Amino acid sequence: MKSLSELTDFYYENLHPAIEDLEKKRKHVKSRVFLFGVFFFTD
Amino acid sequence: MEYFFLLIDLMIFSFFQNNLSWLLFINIAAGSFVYKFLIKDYSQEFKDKVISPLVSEIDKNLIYKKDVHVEEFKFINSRLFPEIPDKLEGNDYISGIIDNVKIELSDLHAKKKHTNSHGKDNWSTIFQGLFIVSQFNKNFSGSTVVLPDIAQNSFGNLIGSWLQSHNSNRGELIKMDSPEFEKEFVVYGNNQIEARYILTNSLMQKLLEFKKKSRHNLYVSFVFNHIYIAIDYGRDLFEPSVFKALLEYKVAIEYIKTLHLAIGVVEELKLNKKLWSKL
Repeated sequence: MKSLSELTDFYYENLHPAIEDLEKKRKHVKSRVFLFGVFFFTD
Repeated sequence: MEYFFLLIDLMIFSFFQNNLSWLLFINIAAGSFVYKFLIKDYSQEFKDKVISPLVSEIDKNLIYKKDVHVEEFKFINSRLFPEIPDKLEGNDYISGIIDNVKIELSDLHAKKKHTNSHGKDNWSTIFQGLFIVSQFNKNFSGSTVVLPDIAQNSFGNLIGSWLQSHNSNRGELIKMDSPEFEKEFVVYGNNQIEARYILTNSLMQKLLEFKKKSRHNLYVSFVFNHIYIAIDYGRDLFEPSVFKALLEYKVAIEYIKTLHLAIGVVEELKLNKKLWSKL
């Protein structure tokens, strides 16, 4: 079985393009959640 | 949108005018429901693009299914939790064969329904965390259950021991030779000899190390040639948070460590070392 450090390398090297793409989506979803929170708790 | 929520709140308020805590509770529940709805697509994509490749990287023989969980009968067969769940939810199912040992695991949330005198239903959690099932490397016919030693840790040795020995629905209390193990765990079973045959000093040491690594309460049982492990995380694992960046080392290592710990149980407990002697 692969070690923790090998898996960490795999995460940052091989998954990097997918993670960067997901990061953009995360920021977009975060702003939607934030907007919803503002509407919901200040209604 | 704003008027919609205002209308809902007014309707709810008219029902619970004298009970603001109900209003707060309903607001939190509605907020959590909408949050889950908003992050659903992101969460699914995260599992497809991050968790699934990570699982394959750990071992090519493993299969990952994000919407499946360990079957209910296996949870019940484990005898780890005496209550039968009324609802069992879960996800992030991983299965496969590592070093010739069959293993499966998933997130599980077992709940029990209670109805109060007013006829209202309440749900309590029996278990929430990671549930692992694997073949065990020894043959045995009975059951041995290893639980966190909550009684002795909470009430001290005297009252704790008395409470443990009077836990009638768990079977016979089995005292182990290792003081270190006894401090962390309590063992019940239906066969003293078999329990000692399974829980060797080496396995007790490995369970202590595994508990230390998981940093959460550990429930382990040995039933009909299988080992069941429940790690009580108290939350759904492998779910991404929109408030934490995926490139942050702390976030990444948390997912990797949890997967490595769960799948590494075969190696960690030496389940791949065949010990085919029979009792």
